Amino acid sequence: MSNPILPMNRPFPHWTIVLACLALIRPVLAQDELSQVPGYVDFSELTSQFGEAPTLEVNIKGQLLKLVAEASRADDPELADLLLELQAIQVRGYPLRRAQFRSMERRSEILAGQLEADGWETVVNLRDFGQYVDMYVKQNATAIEGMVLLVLDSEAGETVFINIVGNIDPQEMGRIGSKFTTAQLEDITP
Amino acid sequence: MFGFAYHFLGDREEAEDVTQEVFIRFWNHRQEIDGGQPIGWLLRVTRNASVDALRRRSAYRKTITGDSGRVDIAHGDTPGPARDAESNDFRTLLNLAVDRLGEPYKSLVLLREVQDLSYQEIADTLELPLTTVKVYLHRARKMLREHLTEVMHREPY
Amino acid sequence: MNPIDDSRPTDAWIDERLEAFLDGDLPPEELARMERVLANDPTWHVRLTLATRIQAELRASFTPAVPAGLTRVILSRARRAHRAQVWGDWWRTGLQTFLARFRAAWQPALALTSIAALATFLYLAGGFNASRTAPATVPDVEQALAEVKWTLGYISKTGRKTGESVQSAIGPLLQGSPHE
Repeated sequence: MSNPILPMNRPFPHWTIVLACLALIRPVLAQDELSQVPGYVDFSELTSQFGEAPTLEVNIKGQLLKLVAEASRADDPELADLLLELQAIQVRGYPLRRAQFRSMERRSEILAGQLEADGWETVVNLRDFGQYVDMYVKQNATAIEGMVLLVLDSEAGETVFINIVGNIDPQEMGRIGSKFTTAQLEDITP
Repeated sequence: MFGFAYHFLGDREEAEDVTQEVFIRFWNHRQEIDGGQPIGWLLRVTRNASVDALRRRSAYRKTITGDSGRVDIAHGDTPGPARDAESNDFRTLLNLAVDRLGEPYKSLVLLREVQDLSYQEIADTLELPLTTVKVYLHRARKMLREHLTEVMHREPY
Repeated sequence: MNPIDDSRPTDAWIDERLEAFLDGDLPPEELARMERVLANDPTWHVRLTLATRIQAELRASFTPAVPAGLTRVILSRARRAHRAQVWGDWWRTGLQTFLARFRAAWQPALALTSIAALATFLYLAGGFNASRTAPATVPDVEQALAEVKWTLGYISKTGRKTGESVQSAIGPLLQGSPHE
């Protein structure tokens, strides 16, 4: 993240006050109904924690998600039905260099701690050489209402955070997802 | 300039905004611009401004939620004489295929086929070698053909 | 002696010249050869038909007339820009020097006042949603669908790799464990 650079011949030391006031204003900003949904995780903190902008960012929610569901119906009715049960899909990806693995691991552990404190349950904690996978779910009495996947993969050189919000059947999601490729996601619109 | 921006962005209002910005920039930099080649400068800046406008639209795209109940699908203008349904479908598919082209292919197609510029004029506008323009245009047209062939075989034509 | 090459050209040769054929830019010998191929090869005939149609549709694209008020707006903005430039020069040379003497006193007060006004505005406005509600376009939906598929594919792939890692970790343990 870049810092504002002040010319040395303008001795105005009050930018810290500006930043502090903006930080206080922040709770007023971005009032979003989705933030009230139990299965939702606010990823806006991640950028500040990781100190750089994500190289991959997906935010699909609300009416756009419904449109996507209908757009997929002709080719893949199962996918359409699955998407209609969801409220949001969020992804954040950050580059991961080998030297950063340990520090990224610590930051992910902080996020994991926050999730557990918010009532998320651990489904998977995988610690393999150069790979770190955590999956969490939020459940109500009858269904899973949110899922979070955290992946650190030093071989692929990436850190990926995924939050799926809505009525989730993980097995069905895995089965339907197995049809799709994970080749590099490129913007298909210029 | 308005015509290029309109076809690039598919939106009349955005095209007006881009055209305004381009001519204001032209006014502000009028002393520096080569007096004999203002059209090339104008087209180039229009194209760059259109690409920027599309990127800004794309950045906002990721937080589109729509309002409480109603979502509109933005349609490009389709005026002109009435066409039969099959022709409209082909036109729609073609517009989508052109939109899918990355840069500089989309600009090349619009400059050549819609704005009717010569290869040399396109090369001057985009500051590309003439041979590169020809190669890129060939690729762009081929991509359009291949995409439309694939889509039309899937559609109930 | 017939100097004309009657052998069927390769697909690559035809492909390279299809656009030039459409544009009427081929030399006579190549033009004749292309015409023979296109007359006898149904596949290339279909491709040529499609290429011709694409070109025709694009060239017939409707371009609306420049809106009547646009020129007026541009000229008006240019006049304002010119006036602003004149005033700006005056500001830079005269007034700024005068105010700079008192910057240490007034600038912090002005900044804090601006911040308080901004905070009040945001509070009264009930929050600021950085997202612009805009109608989704077909390319937006296409892009979002690609993103959804990628995400689900990634989740599935990660699940499989996790399962494989778990299997490889516990497999030896199970093999070594006493069976019933």
